[in-house]
Parts: sequence; C-alpha cells; structure tokens
Amino acid sequence: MDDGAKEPALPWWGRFTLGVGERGLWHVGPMRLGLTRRRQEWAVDVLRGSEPRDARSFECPTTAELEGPSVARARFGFAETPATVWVRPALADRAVVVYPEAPFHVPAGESVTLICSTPLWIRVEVGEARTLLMETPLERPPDTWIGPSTREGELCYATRTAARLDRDSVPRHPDRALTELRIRNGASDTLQLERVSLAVPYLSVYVARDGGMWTESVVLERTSSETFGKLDIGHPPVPSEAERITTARLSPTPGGVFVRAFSALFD
Amino acid sequence: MENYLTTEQIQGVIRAGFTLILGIGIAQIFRSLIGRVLEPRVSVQSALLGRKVSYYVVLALAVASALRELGLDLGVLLGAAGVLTVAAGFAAQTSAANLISGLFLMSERPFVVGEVIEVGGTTGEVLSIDLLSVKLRTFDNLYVRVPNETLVKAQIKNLTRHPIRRYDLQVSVGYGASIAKVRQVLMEVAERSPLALREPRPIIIFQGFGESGVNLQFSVWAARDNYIDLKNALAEDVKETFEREGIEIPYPYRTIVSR
Repeated sequence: MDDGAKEPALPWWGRFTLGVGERGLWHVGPMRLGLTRRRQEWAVDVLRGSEPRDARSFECPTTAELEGPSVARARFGFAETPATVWVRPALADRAVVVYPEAPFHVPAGESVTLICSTPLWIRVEVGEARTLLMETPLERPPDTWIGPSTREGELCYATRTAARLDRDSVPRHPDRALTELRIRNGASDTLQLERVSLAVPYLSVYVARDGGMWTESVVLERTSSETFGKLDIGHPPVPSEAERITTARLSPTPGGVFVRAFSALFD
Repeated sequence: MENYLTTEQIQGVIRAGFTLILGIGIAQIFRSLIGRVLEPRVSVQSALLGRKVSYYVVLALAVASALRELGLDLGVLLGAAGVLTVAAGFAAQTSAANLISGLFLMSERPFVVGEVIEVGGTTGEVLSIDLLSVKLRTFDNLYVRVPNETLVKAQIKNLTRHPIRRYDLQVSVGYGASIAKVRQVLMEVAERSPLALREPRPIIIFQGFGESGVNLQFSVWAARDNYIDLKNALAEDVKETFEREGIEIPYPYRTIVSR
C-alpha cells in the first residue's frame, strides 16, 4: 500500500457517457470493474483481488476487455439503454466496528483525535434517474457481532485500525474512507478503547484535494465511568475543502440513530 | 313427490342453499379483509390463525342460518351434538390430543412460520402451524406433516431463532504436529474468512488424545444466513492449509507387533 498522500488522484468517480457498443474499465483498489453498454443491455463485469491494490485508474471508453475465469458478469436489460453511467464510492451498508491494532487508552480528563479508516463500496447507476445497477464492496470486509449477548445485537463489518493521531501520516488507500474520531474522556477513570462502532450508513463520502476519501467527523464524549454521554455524527470532514460526492444512505432521525449508535458503541 | 315436499319446503331448501353460498362468499371476503388488516401488524402465524378463525366463524353462522331455513331446531341439534361430542371424543382421542397440543404450541411459540426447525431427524422450514399438525418443507423439497402431539413431546431445535450461529469443526491432527502451530494456523484460517465473525472470537478447544491423533474442536461464529457457506469454506481451507503447512490429518491405524 502506498503512502502517496500528496499525489493528486484521478477522479475515477462521477458521470460518464458511453455510446452503444462502448466499454469503460475501472481499477480501484483491489477491484476491476468493466461496464459495457449495448443497445438493450448494460453488462457489469467484476474482477476481485487485482494487483496493484492501490490502483485508482479508469479508461472510458476503451477497447480493453476484462477477461478470465474469475470475472463475475451481471447483465441488466432495458428497452433502450441510457448513455450516462454514474460510478461512485459509497460507505458500507452496515455499521463498521473498528478494532485498534494495539490497546489504546485515554486517561481521565484527556481528549484525543484518532483517524480511523473504513472500507468503501462502489456504486454503479445509469440514466438521469440514476437506476442502481450494482453496489459491491471494493474488498469484502469480515463480519462481526456487537451487542450484549449472542441473542441481541447487531451484525456489523469489522476492520482494524492503526489508530493514527497525525492526519498527514495516514495512508490514502483508494478502497477506504477516513473518519476523524474525536474522543473526550470526561469520566474519572481511564477509557480502554477496544472497539468503536461507526454508524457509517449515516455518513457521507467526501473527497479532498489530494484524492483522499473522508467522511464527516464523529465526536464521542464520555461523561461517566460506564457510558458515553454524547455521540455526535454530523460534523463536517476535517479537510474543510473536501467536496461531498456521495450522500449518506440513511438520514438520522432526532434521537433515534444516535441513541442506538451510542448504546452499541462500546461493549 | 308432493307427499314429501311442499312448496314452502322447496322454498326453504332454496333459501338455505342461497344462504350457504352467500355465507361462503362473505366468509372468504371476511378472511381476506382480516388478513389484510392483521398481516402488517402481527406475526405471519397470528395472521394465518386470524384468517382461519374468522373464516370458520362466519361459515358456522352461515350453516346455522341455512339449517334454520330448513326448519331445523338448533337447540335440539346442539343437544344432539353434545351427546355426539362425547362419543366422538372417545373415537378421536388422537385428534383431540393434537388439537390441545396445537393450542400449547401456539401459546408457547417455540417457532414461528418461516423459521427452520429440526424435529425427530427432520429439518425443514415451517410452512404453517395448524390446529392438528405443523407442515414443514425440507431442504430436499419434501412436504412433511408433523402431528402437534409429537412436537409437544419431542425435542425441537430451532435453527434460525438467533441471528448468529457457531459452527464446531472437529479436527484431528497427528501426534507429530505442534499444537501451538495448529492453533496459530487455525486462527489464521478464521482470520482469512470474511464470513467468520471477528466477535465472538473463534475458539479452539482441546478434546482429548485420540487413537490416531490429538482431537480439537475449532469453533467459529457466522451470521445465520452465511452458516452453510462458512461450513463449506472453512473445512476446505483447513484441509488445504494443513497440507501446505505439513500438518497431518491422521486416519485410524494399528501397529501390529509380530513375535
């Protein structure tokens, strides 16, 4: 994986136009995506585990083809196919539980800002109505369970984080979005951070000038030794110039989402 | 013919027939309405029960009205029915037991329509829970009727009640293998699989020294819907990894000493 944070990335996302019989190819992270437009069908080819894993390129239109036994193809029929196609990154469709690689502690009264990364999905839509053709993770993250017991809880995705503190030192992987997690431990004892559940379906994807993908910042404030008193999701991303390219899947309802996210935040 | 049936009696028969047909029609409409009202609000099983009860209540009223049109006295009929019930009760003990068992099942709710259960060696999806029996669809697409009385007495395993399940893979490794290395390899196998839950964590339990090797239980959790996929993928990956790492999966053998 590269640490090429300063290198401007090609905008592989956005609106593209393909004529009948034309094809576009994308290579984002470990996934290659091929889109072919025919008069009455859109064909979507997916090849996973492609090298290099830090790729973020596209050719649209192209004569190259995605071939091989591992290519998974899906076809979508239309009376007449629309010429426009939207390719965009999206966040996971379930909450992501982030596990620090090494135990991380926040002493009483301290506050700290961590940078966590979560896996990205790719979304393909066609036409001005943005009909969804396909949505798939660039790399399938593992599942995990968070909750008080094996009977009650929530199925989430799991990911590990180095829990970096310096924003500039965080690698900008093409298949991951960065979230700034501000933690304030107002309780009288040390907070042992073993896992954090990020409710990413409520977050949007932003892109910074250097090509790094970001989400809104998340603020956690712990006021007592047992629970977190405040969880706030709706802060703008840290690179203030970052531009929003994909809106959140879900809109938070007042009280509801925050309370649920809050109660499932720490085991 | 005129000695037996008067014009009024013929009219009564026609009215009774008309009442019955109308009653069946109303019962069907009523069943449909009750279904539409209940389905979004209650469980599938309760909606199914509500539909059936409403249908038979309306139908019973229609039959009673039809009998009145025929000039039959319902009081006498019910009295006779009481005597008949005692007689029929002796004759239909099994059905009565099933009926009562069905009521117990409905109130206890060990499973609901749509869940997958295992009972008496049969595993299948519950299609309906009726007064006398439960209907299952097995995974090889057979229709199985299990009497309620059997279900009340039997041990039932509900395979889909909880959202996550644990798969226990029994592994035996040769005595030449390092158990610490086997543990590390198995944990790596779980780590590689996206279907294996990170939490609850996979565990390896020592089961004993067997005839041919060390017996271990490799327990991995998965989402209910991914259970079968995980089961297949895990066994395949364990075997391939053991072969790659030179860990022997022993088969039974005997050492014969000749004197």
